[in-house]
Amino acid sequence: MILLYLFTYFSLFVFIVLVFSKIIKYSSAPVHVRWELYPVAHEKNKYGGSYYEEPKWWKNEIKKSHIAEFWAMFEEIIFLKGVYIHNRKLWYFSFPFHLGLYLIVATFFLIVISVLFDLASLVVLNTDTLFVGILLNNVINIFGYGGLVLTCLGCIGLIFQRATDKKFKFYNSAMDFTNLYFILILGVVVFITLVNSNTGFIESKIFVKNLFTLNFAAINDVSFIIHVILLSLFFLYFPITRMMHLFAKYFTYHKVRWEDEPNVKGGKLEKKIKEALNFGVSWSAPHIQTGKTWAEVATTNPTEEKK
Amino acid sequence: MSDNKMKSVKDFSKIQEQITELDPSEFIKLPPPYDDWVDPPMKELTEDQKNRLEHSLDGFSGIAIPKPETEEEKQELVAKFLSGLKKLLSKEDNWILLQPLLLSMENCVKCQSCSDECPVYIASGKEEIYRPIFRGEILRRIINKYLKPGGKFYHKFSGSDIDLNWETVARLAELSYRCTLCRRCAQACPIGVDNGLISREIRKLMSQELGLAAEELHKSGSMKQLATGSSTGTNPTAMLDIVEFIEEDLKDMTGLDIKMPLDKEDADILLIHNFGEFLSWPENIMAFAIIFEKAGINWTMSSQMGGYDSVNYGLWYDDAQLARVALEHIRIAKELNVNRIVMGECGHAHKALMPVADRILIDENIIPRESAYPILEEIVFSGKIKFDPNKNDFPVTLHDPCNAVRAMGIVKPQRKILRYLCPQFREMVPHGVHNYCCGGGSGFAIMQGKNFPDWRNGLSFRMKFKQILDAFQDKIEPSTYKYVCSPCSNCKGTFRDGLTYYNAFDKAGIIYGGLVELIVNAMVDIEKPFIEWELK
Repeated sequence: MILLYLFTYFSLFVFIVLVFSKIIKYSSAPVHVRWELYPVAHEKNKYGGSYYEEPKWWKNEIKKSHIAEFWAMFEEIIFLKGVYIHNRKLWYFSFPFHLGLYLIVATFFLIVISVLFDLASLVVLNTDTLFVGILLNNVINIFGYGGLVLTCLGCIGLIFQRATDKKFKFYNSAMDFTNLYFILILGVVVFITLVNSNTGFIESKIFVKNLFTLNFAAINDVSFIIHVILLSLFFLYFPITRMMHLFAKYFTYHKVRWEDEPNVKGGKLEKKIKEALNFGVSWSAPHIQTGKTWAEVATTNPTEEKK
Repeated sequence: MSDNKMKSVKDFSKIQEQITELDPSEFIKLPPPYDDWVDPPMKELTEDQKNRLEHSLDGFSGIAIPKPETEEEKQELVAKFLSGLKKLLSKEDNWILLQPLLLSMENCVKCQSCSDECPVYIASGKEEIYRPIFRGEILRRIINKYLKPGGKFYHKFSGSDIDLNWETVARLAELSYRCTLCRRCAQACPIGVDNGLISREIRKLMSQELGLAAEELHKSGSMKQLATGSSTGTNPTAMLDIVEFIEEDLKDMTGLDIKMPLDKEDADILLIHNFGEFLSWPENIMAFAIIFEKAGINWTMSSQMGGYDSVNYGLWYDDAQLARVALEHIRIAKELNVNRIVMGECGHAHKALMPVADRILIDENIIPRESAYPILEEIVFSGKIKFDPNKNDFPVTLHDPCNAVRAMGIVKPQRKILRYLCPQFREMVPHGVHNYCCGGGSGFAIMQGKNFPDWRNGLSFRMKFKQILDAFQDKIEPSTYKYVCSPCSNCKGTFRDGLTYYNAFDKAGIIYGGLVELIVNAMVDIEKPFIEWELK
């Protein structure tokens, strides 16, 4: 049994390391040229206008609406607004699928909170009579059961669409189906555990508590053991797939699509640009004149020798 | 039906013959008076061109890639492509767009939310090779298979089973010139993947490593600009002559004796036009001069190398060329000691020098750069010039240049002017930041070689033409003259060729022109109509 626990620790560790290394990879990329796309959510003009609409814009203080940016992100993440507008057929399945996953992730965190409260003697797992405990248990049940139903239904719909719609079929890879089948099978197994021994997610809570307390207690329900193994495998699998878009989306929106910070003399951006201009260039087409820094390449006229 | 031989993405590298034959009867239908329009057959390459040039994508040659003669030559080009691909993913060689590129390459889930946003894909009757994710998917599979660890099994599993050979490289190069870089697809992507950027980065790899680019953009474009001062080849002496001619024409047309300020030091504004305006649409240069002079603006133009052509084709294919041309513009502004650079009616010049070049400028090179649109709005509503909107009482619609609108958010000023000065102004559908590209974006407007113009006029311009016809349906008869306002030189180039291709003036009374021409046409002081009703 200890191997099951060790495997769970291992998978969680690898998951965290891989997710963080991806985040570090994106966040440590050098400054890039502006490549924003309007509408930019934090701009005041909802029709997509920018500060460039003002004469002498560079004399004005540039105001950003963080509330508008938050709301745009909220609509996009929770309701998949982009898919709703541009790909309604997919949205009917993608929305419940994603919403279900969010609920499952929330359930996971609520289970962790329950366990921490239990360890702090604030609640007693699943048998609590205090308001906080009852509330936690009920929310976990609603989120957990609801999330599983939505995820599985969405998953079945997405698999069906991928398998039958020719616009998907042309581009399908084994990984596209594996991602969905993996989640579906995992969902079904969790359902089985809920019917067997995991009513109200009690086994899940106990298992998480055991992980926290290094108590490698035996698990009697085979379906729950399978559930733990599959979930651990999923943690290992997730970071090598395109499901990582969950984390990448922050960067695509905040660091590219909505990134409209002007470069001002003496500012932080200028400092980063100066660093980048000193990178060496090894592109080998003749007009580049390789072997110089970017600053040198940019100030070299490749036609001068011909004059 | 168009004849596409691919059954899956991997066939892109396997099929020996031409991948697809376009069938114009599959293209989207146009509204009246083009409901019975039959497209002429698209021009084929000559036998000689077919023998010499790569054309196995769709039968068109945008960048005239010579066919390698030996197997060694092919292998060398493939090796160069791979080395370029590595550089494209490296911090040093591609800091300029590395983060956006990585995010787009690694996170597309192929949900296809972008597909129906692409005017080329839709207009073609949904030809698979033009689907926005197609070229990105090819590149992604090559990267996964040839540059990432994983082994054979993982490649098959993750869908990276594509072979890298000369045909793949050449087709991918041509394919990057079937996207106008309008970025409507990126706007629609729920994750934020930018397939337009991927096209642009493929072009960059081809140019910066293999030396492959559209001749009109590179050799006869940015290289000519760096050598002579303008992508048109006009040197400073010729530029002065042209300005003189324009001043004379201006006097003939309006009676106004305006001397265009050139190389005036310490002016408030350095106005830089796309030099195409001087040659093809001089009335745009005149109109700017009239408006600025009447409004009492302290402005100048430059007649010095690097200062009179705002064109910056590097934006579309090459970072080094982009930076070099942008720095020339900045150098002139510094020499003249102006307060600010103002971009005339040229969308890509706006984007190149304002937001994009913003991240290559340091120290004294950080000079304010602005669009002419808000300045024109300020002038029109300042009361300094008297207008009679009835002089513009004809149907007008507005085209939104992608680079100034979708990529920079300059949406309202030009609309405010048109709503005030043009009683019959009507919007296209969609409009503003969601408007369609003219079809000539990313250099297509000036790419006139081989059979490419047929592809542009018949296909990539088609969605825009449909929008224009839709906007004018209530007055579509040719006897009612109609005006497509296009405040961008490259877009105007597309309209010139596209409207001529469809004979739109004779069939529907449609012409095109800039924003400033409409402003001057409505001026009380200008007695004769400034707009001439002919398709130039």
